[in-house]
Amino acid sequence: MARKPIPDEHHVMRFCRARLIYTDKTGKLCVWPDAFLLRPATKEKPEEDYLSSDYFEHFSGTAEQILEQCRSACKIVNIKNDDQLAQLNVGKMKEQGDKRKLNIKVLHQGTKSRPSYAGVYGLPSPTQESEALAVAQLIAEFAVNDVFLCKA
Amino acid sequence: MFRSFSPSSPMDDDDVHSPKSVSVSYDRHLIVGGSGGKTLVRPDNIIHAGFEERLFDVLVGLKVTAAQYSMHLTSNVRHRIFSELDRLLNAENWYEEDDFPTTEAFRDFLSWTVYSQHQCWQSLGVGNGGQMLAVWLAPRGVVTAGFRGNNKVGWTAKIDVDGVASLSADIGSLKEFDRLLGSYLD
Repeated sequence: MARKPIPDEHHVMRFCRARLIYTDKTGKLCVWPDAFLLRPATKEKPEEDYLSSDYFEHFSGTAEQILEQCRSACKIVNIKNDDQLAQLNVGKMKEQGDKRKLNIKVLHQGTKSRPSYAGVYGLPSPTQESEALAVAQLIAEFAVNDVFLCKA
Repeated sequence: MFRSFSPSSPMDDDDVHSPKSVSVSYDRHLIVGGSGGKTLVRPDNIIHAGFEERLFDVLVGLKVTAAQYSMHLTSNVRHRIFSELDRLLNAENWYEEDDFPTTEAFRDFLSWTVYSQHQCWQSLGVGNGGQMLAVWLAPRGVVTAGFRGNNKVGWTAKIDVDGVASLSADIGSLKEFDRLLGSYLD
């Protein structure tokens, strides 16, 4: 399937493992910036060039029904109890990229097995550690719209 | 600047990585205490070193490491560390393919905590590659840190100055991070 830009007012859902979630003093769930860092190259895998996510507005129904479809879509085998889905606003992510002179693109690149699949491109390489951390912080701080439990 | 610590001296690499030695031993089957008054017991009937057993060993190893610093930590902080480790490192939440927190990263976190006296962190996490994460919530903002285990820490800070959020992120030494965090939290 061709890659298509996702409109700024739309959202993608990023799967976040429990170890990258914390609770603030008010009980609000927050995401560590590390959840928005690209994976560096390993012996087995090349460096990641985009963040995996799912296109929220690809689905239809009530907000709860869409969320349920996102939960099924992320295809994680054996989802853990406290894993979360972070809802990210596309326009805000691009805006944060602009602040660091980065051309962040959020593309819908659905596949047969995962029609809602989307990617966040244009993030700094993991080799640019400080810059990658700064952008991840901006996303965590300003682009996360909400956080939902992954396991319904 | 790091506060005095017996023997009082500015932090250098040797200081940071040499806590007062505490002999801690544990039986392979009965394990040192867990958080919240619970005692962790390792089942005897595990034959293969499976995922859960390895996870359990890492958890115990980190708790033993924390115990080596116990004389420098308040009981409240000790319990919070144990409780956070229990929350993070359990089979209900941990993925087999994830990197466990490294002892070096955890030791850096503990050493830094003791020397800097910034023990008021809100929560701990585990970053990609086994970094030990900590977050401080200050009246003026939020500071996160990823201890990497090589005397390096990656941090982010969001501080409100006259109602305007000022953000920064960088990677530096434990000493540099202490200076930064001190200016935000003190």
